[in-house]
Amino acid sequence: MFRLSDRLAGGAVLLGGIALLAGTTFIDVNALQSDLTARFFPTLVSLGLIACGLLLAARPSGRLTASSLSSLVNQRAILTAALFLVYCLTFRHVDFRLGTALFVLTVMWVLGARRPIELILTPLLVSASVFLLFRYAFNVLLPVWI
Amino acid sequence: MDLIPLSLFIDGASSLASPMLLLWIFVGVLVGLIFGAAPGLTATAGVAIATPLTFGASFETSMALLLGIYCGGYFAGSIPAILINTPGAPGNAATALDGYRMARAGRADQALSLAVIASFIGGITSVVVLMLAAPTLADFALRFTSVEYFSLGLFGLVCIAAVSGGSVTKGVICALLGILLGSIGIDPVGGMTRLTADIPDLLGGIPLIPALIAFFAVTEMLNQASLTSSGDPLPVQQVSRLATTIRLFAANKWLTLKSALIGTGIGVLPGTGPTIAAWIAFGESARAEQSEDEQKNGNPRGIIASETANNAVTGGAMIPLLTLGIPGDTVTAVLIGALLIQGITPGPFFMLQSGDLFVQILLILAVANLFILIIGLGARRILPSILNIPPRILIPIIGVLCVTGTFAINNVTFEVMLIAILGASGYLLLCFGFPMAPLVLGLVLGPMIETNLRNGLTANELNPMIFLTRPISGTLLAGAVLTVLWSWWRGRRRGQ
Repeated sequence: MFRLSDRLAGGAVLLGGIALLAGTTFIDVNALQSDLTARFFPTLVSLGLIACGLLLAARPSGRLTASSLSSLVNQRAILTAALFLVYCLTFRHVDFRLGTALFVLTVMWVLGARRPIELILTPLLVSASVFLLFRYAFNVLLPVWI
Repeated sequence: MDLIPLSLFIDGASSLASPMLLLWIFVGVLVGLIFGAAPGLTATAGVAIATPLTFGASFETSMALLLGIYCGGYFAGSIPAILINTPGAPGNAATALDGYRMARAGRADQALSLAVIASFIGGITSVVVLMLAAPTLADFALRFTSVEYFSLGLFGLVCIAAVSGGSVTKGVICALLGILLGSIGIDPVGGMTRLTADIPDLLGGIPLIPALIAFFAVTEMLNQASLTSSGDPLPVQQVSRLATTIRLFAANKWLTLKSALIGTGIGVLPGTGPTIAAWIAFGESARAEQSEDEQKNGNPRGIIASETANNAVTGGAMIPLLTLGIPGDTVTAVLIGALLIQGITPGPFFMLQSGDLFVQILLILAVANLFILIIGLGARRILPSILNIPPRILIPIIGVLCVTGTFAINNVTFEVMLIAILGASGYLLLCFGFPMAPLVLGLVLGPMIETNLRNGLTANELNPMIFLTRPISGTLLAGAVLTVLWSWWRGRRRGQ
């Protein structure tokens, strides 16, 4: 199974390398540069990726552990990643204090926190202290509604 | 060797024997510790913010504050790197690899002690080298052309790809992916736009600190979220005796010396900095055979090497600044402004005309390193209490700090979105057993490797043999090849 995952990863790297190699042809070049254009280095990198992808697919190392692959389908990790993504995407639109408190609350819930005091106090304290620290100590203008 | 006359040394030292000046160094170190430890804020930002405050100050006061921030900031990034796997600055990323593992194994106290003492040794060694051989080293650094810079960059990258653990092929793939990320934006030689997918925010390339936060902190946050269900509590934090830590340094004295010299040497080279120094020294430490316990629970040698080299850059980077007027890293670039405010132009005549000021700079750097030692060792028992916070509370706090720290760098929300995307990608790679270290180093070294490869080839009529025939370059490339062969041989032996 682990060798198969290496073969899959190698295949993905190989395809990515080929796509990059094709993509480099779309890079504009400076008419004044005759030899080493902007395409030169990405082309080298894509060739390296193709070679390494082939090597990994052909000779998988098989050193992965079961726990590392199972992390990929772990429900808590996936939900935390999804909440983090939502927090980052809405960062500019939502008041920092509200967005942060909601993020902390939901992630805590996902990770198994159930005590009401903890679920109320922690988001409020984290949100307020990080806001005060960055806004007034480091002078960072965080997005706020009021 | 170019030695400083004793009379000049005494003059410089006597002007520093003022409690107020010592207080300014202390304040500088404290401010540096805060800036270095906060993700998203760096020593460069601290020095840049403090520089305008020195307009009305004397030379000694201004240097005391700024050099205090410089040294404190370079060390402090190791604190969050060890405790929450979030390097405070790019130069501390290598420390996170072994430091965080040691903290998770209940040895945060020892990891922090190692980082403090290593930073002190690195800083002091670089000051001694600066005192003894500044002009000689500056002449040596001027001999580096594009050819040598390319080989140095490639050597650093290959070392990390080969020794970062697991398969060499996966290490190289990650290094290439890092280089690919580093080549997004405007082509550094020709000025053409590439691989930006028409996103204007990518014109400036992938910013380093958000990428660092994504690949280390966000990835680890998701990894920890997946582990919380396994009910695997952290072991109780052990109290480490200082004598044990000092014995570790005695046992690794050659590694410490080598790392200090690597840090100072790389600091001397303009345009490099602590990140490259720390990774190359870390690569050196990882060459030694590691037991299964060291691989799993962290190896003190990794922290000794990376932190010694990281702080040794401080003195090294001052060499080209003071002798040639060329900054060795980003902080010294800002320090040029501070020197100009004082009416001092750094360059070849600085040591001849202002020898006493040169001595004052040396002594301020030495005292700042001493304060780091005192403050760091004093706080090492308190700091690990962060690890007692339950994961269900610590994980969202890390997430919030990642986002806020990223936003604090440039006030750009695109970079906040970027850490989510890069972090999720990093987690995916981690699940498939790809190491993060070569990815980050590829991002750091990619632009340097590309620019110098293209410039080196163009200047030598596209003759690639120039990289082998120049002595320094040829030696570095031979070292890179030997490292890969050795790593491959070690992998085969383990397989058997």
